[in-house]
Amino acid sequence: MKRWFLFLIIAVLLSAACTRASRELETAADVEVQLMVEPAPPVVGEAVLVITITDETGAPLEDAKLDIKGDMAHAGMKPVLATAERGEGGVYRVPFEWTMAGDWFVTIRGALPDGRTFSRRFDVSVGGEMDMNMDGS
Amino acid sequence: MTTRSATAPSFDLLHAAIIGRVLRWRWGRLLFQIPLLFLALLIIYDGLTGPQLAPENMATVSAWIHYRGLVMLALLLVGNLFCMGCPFTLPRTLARRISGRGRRWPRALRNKWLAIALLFLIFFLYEWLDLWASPWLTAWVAIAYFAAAFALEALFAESPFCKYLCPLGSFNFVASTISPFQITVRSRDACRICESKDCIRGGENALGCGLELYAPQVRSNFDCTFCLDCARACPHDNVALAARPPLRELMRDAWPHRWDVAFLALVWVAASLSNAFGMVPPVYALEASLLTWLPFLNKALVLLLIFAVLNLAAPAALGLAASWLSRSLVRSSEPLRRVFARYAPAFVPLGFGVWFAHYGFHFATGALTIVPALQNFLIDHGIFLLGDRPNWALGPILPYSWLLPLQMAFTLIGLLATLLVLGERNRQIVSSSSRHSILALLPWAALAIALAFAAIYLFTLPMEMRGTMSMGH
Repeated sequence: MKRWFLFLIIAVLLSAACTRASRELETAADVEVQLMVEPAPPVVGEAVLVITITDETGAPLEDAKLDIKGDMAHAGMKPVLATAERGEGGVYRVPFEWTMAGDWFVTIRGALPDGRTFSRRFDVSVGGEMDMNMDGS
Repeated sequence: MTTRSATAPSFDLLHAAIIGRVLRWRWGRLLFQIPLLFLALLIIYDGLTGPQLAPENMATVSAWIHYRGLVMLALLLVGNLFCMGCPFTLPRTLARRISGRGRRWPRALRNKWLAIALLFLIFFLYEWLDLWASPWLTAWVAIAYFAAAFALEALFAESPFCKYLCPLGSFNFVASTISPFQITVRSRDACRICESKDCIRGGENALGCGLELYAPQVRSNFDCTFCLDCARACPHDNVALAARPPLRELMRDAWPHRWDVAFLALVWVAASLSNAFGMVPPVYALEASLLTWLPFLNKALVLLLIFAVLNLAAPAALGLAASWLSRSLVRSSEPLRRVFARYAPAFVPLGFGVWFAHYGFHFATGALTIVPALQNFLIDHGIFLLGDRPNWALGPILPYSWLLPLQMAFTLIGLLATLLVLGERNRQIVSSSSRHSILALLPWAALAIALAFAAIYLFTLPMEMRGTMSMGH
């Protein structure tokens, strides 16, 4: 009975691992994404993410729909979320807020009008004095 | 039949209406262990195969936010419930079959020095490897726990992993000394005439106490895993999980007067501050300064140095200094060990307050992040039971503005309780020896007040989380 139970657990874990389809960072190879932050270097408080999106020839992609998620390294920290829908000349200026000093991971997921999707993650080190508002209010 | 005596507890959880039956049931512990086993397997599975961003992974969210927050709450409200449901001891029956009777744990190691070393090690690894930010490493910590518990159980007769090694257990043992429930017996007379002593030797129904605690002699939660094997093994149904005033154990001087036990308590208290210190800007400034002054050191050695000083050297030095001062002020010739062991346990409530404030902060700000992490996990497996997009906007369960006042309140309540325990311990020794006086208390009270205000200062500093940029996301 115990052996069967153990076997069942191992079988479930293995089959789950084989079928897992993590949606992490699906990437369209022909889309270039660059991130700059204002102010630079970034400090705690309000900021602007300047995201430049081009194709493989360097031509701007203006009509991407972007979902932006800023995570801190620590588990349990509510992320900062933002969206953008149009970027003049492929440059999307997105209001953002660094709620705490430290290491951030900014994940940009995008969808183009032709159905292609892409995502990139950037490391950002945020310093400075803190006026933290975890409520997001 | 058990004869009830005047010592019978006023409230015994093992004889409460429904929960008592469940707890005493042969498979009662398994009921707690199975859910935690699945959680541990989930931590391993998601940690190894899931997203490596800590806030998105069940391993890091459940281990570093929920486990730590809920374990403190359980210790405060009931007792050592995590050890009761510990999944790492589940392979113990299999391990015992392999080992037969096994060997005895070496006499030289039957103390808390290894436990102190491992507690220090896990706190150091936590800071050095940023365990809180790595699902993969968090999974390997769980795997290491299973492996170590199994191996130790297979090699030795008693449960040395729980009693002498496990860092989680050591943490819980110290903290549970303020918990409101403790193992005791309903009638001492029944134990006096009992010949089988199944509670410790084991019987037909259950193993005896793996940690070799004899129920009628238990005066402390220290070393007790709340496994309730003693209660299930007792043929007289005489073991109780009795309610008690939370500070009674510490006020009654129930711990052995040993360097290792007392030092473990102070290390635990020191770690409550250093663990919070690891998340505020001064620690990064200190790291940078040390790397400049001592260029031959790397980051790991600098962190080792910082946390060895804070978690080992400082409690040793401060404890010994307070002991020496305490003894000198009353011109006593009492051994330093006795003074150290008398007052050090009184710091547990203060440490508890600081740990509770720290882990409570993370729980209060991130309790609901488990929801999107779980949604993410399910969606990864094609299960859309909780929606087709994780709701990342979920997070806190309390307004942020409440947290600092609550942290201060927990710390000050801990300080107050520590001062009460110090006073009571001092009163007991003053009443039994004319050479003692209130003066003996002063160095310890000053140390407690200094530690409490250091903790409050740390809580007022902005939190900062660094050191994870090389994770290779």
